[in-house]
Amino acid sequence: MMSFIKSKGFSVALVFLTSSFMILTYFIDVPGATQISSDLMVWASLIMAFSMPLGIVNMISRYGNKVYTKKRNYGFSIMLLVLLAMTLASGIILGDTSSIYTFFMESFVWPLGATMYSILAFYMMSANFVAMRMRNWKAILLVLAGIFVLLTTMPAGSSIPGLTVIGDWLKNIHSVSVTRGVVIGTAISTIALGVRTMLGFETSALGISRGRESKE
Amino acid sequence: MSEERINTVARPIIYLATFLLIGIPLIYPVGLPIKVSQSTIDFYNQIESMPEGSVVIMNFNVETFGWDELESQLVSITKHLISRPVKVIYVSDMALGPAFIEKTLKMASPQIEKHNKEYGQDYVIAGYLAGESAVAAIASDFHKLISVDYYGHSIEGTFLDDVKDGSDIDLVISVDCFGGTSPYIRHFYLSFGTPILTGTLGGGVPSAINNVQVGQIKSYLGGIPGGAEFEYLSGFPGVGITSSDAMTIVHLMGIALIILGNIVLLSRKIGGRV
Amino acid sequence: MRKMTTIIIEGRLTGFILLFSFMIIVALIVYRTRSTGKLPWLRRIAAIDAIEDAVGRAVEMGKPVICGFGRARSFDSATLAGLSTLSYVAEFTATMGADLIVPLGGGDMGTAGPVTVPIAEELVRTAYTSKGKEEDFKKVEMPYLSDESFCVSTSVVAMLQKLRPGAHVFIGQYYAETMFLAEVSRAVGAISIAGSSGVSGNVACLAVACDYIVIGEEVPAIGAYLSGDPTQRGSIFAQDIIKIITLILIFFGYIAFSFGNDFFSKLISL
Repeated sequence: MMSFIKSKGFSVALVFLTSSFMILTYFIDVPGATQISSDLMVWASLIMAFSMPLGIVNMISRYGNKVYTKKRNYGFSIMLLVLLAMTLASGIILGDTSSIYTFFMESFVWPLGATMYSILAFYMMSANFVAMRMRNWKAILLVLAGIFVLLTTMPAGSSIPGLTVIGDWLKNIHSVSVTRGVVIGTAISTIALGVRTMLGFETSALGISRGRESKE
Repeated sequence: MSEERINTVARPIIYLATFLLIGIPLIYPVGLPIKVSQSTIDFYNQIESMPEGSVVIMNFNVETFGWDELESQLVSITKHLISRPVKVIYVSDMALGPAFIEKTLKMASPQIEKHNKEYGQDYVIAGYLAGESAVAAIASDFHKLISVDYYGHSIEGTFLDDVKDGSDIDLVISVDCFGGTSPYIRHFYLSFGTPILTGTLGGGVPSAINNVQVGQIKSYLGGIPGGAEFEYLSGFPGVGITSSDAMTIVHLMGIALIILGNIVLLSRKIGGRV
Repeated sequence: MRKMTTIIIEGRLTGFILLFSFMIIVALIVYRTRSTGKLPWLRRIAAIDAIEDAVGRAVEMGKPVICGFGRARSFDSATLAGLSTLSYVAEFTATMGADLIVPLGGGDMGTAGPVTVPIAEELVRTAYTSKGKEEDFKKVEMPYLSDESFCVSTSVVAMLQKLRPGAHVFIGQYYAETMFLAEVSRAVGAISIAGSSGVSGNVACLAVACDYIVIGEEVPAIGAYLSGDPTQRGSIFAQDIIKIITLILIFFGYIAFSFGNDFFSKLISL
């Protein structure tokens, strides 16, 4: 029984049936099906929420192993595990609205996250100097487009006469048409990936890699 | 200029100049002009047009790194919603999102007190929605997924008693840094015709314009400039207007660096070193 | 909007027909490709040749190769392309004897993150084993950095600055962190081969700062090309056919709309 549940065939059949059901209930209004699809969506969101503890278990296992085997710089791993435990404990025991948990968030997590994203600004500036060079006609077009985008996206740019008109024309016609093309391509790609997964042609999402698949 | 000189001399100077040109205007604002764009006006008018008692979902699709760019939008929209006679459900599809909801509401507490808004009757924090399936679930049967609020209290006795599914939602506002608007388009707009407004990072503006042009969303706010414009329009000045000076100056610096870099390239070509 | 007058919900008939037609096209072509084994032709992308040159250069300079495969927030074509590229790079590093470093992590609490890590490990092991270099696999560094993709990116930046690799390959699901990775790769003198799908993949940053780039639909195509997998190749071919159909519909819709005919507008809203 367990071997049947663990088998690739069962996983693929389950994916196929649930996906087909969800797709069909979007187009066809069958009495009672809405209730079932609503239940399935609730289950799916619960499963999604489980990816968080999975990530935590993954981290504890990896960094715990580093500490156990005393790999290089394992002191940082100890620090990570201690901070992880403190944050988890404060959130679970005291609640995520408690002052200690909020302190961790506001004093460590948010400033560090903001800092990492803010570093982008410095790299962008250095890239402007080093990389935006007009070496050929394609590069000239790229650089001119870059300068134009910088002028139109800055808050005071709308004060420059004529810039808004040209900027809006480029933004609403050309930029959007490119975006639309990419969105259509991505949508088609998503349909194709969905079909491959539903029919069992693509098993990476089921955690079955090619090496294992060939043995089955 | 050789690669080594760029790394040892030019880069540190650029980094220092960037730091100063962003930092100084934040501390001493210059007061450069801001012009409110049509998309911001449409965004504002859509909220203004909501009749009394309308139910609005406000989605905080924001993580730590997106907060600084989206703070102006989130705070000004929240304050504006509080000043209107509408009921707001605050949700987030990011794990850290509810913490930002709380932070934003704390910042909006003067407006909450001024307009006598009561938790449970005028606004509720529903909490974290895990992924698109959760959005689809609340559109289909709200109470099946959400029976308690973010604080763990039952939602019975709140205005959510009258919210059964997506047809009871009058407006969705999704401020996102990770494509959080798309699930609402799929499950609210396409199913119930619910109007949707979105706030995005600067890089998300082309996608937002695309959605506006096909009618899937009513309007959008783009990055810090969008937030600054909305702050100005709604009458709640904040970090957006302050940051817009810094943003303008650093954009001009970027243009200057591009020009300077190309002058260096030209001089090397003339000197025969390229 | 919801009326029980027909079997198909009003306003969704055209979507139903188009979706199922496209799904049938993909299913048939992929099935045919798998059963006949005849792979559809795919244009060779310049970045593929560059990978071999980049690894060779790294070996000559005695420097390592760093190969990432993206955030892996979800199992989309970009993540699969990143994993296929990783496998391809690993085959070259195994053959040429280059040091390979694969930064693991990312996922951002998405569903794919924890699953891609063992897949990546197995792909690299398989690549080394297929080249008869099982012993060298032990020297491959695959540090697990973090769950958060920005943390992974800043760690990779630190790695780049410390190790100064000869080549940095990063194809997959990348967003804002492309700027870090591209600019620092350039600064340390590594050959950078990068790819990111979608509009928000910061393609402009890659175009400006990287030596070779793979953009948009080339990302899944590179995955299909490198893996030689009939499923992926057939899927790319099927997608191209669907795109041609879409283009034809757009073209005729544009012509009709320009002449004031709203046939296609009504057709879409059936």
